[in-house]
Amino acid sequence: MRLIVARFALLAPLAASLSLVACVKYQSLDGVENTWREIPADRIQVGTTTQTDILDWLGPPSQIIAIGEQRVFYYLSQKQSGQAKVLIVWNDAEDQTRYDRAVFFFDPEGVLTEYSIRDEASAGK
Amino acid sequence: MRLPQASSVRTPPLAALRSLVASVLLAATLAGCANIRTDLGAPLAQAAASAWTAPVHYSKVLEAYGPPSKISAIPSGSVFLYEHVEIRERQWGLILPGDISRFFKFVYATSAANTDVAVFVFDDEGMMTGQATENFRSDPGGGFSFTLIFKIKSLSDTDEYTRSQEGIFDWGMAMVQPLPVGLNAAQSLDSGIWGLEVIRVDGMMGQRALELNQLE
Repeated sequence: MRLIVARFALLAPLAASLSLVACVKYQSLDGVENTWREIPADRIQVGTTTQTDILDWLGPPSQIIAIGEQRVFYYLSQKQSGQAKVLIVWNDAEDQTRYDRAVFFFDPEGVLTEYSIRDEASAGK
Repeated sequence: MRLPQASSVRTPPLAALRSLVASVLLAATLAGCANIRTDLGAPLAQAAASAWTAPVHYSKVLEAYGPPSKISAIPSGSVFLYEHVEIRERQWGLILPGDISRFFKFVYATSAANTDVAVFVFDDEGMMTGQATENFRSDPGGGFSFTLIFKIKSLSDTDEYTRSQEGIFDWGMAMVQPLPVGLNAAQSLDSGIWGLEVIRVDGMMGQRALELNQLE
């Protein structure tokens, strides 16, 4: 009987540590509504698409930047996700932020001259 | 009365081994470590960026790297800034013995930040006039803490890194800036028309010095 008690006392701390585990997972989205993924890629045409078209399709940009006589519409959507493992003895947490950006350059007449769209989450490392 | 002999009170080897194992298990239960990783943005292809030579039109940079983290006009043209930050924090914790362990957990933490930066400067025709890439490591800080309840929480000051992109969402806040900041808005590096700054630049350096941040 004493031997059983001694073994139990020996394993109790380990059993307690294993029973007190937990995990956490979270996600948040920030920035403007990501509508640039919803419109067909061939709809945006350099030389013909205007800033009025972009505003109609995508709504207000995150930033409007003036570069000389050029105007730049900058759309940014930020996705943050994370997870954590709480094992008392060893714990691990990971927090990842990925940006989905779209940037459009217009000439003084408001016609699209260049644009770029990139989702870091799908682009990978 | 017969006194116990020395050999009878000596701890047997097996019992000593059990005590040792029990102590190790107990220590492992009361101690702990945590690894916290924070990743902001996607890593940059620095090798490819550094291989570029002027003149290159900005459309080629957009095609290769996508939209930059920041864009700004400068008197001679424009500038693109690409950034990626990875922060790793390690914590070691210990529940102190005795009554104090009922209230406090002791934690020591260290951290390191790995930052990738690429800057492309263009003239008013949109042709690249210069570019630079760099990878540098910095120390966001660390420290000690006592906590009442076990919790994984960063002890590093990462605000200087995370504010880089979140600032975009602070539209309208310029109207309620402190007076020194408002009066020097023409030199602001946050407006997108007077230049930009690399992540984690001290708030009292260069143009930022005009904002008298130390008085806030």
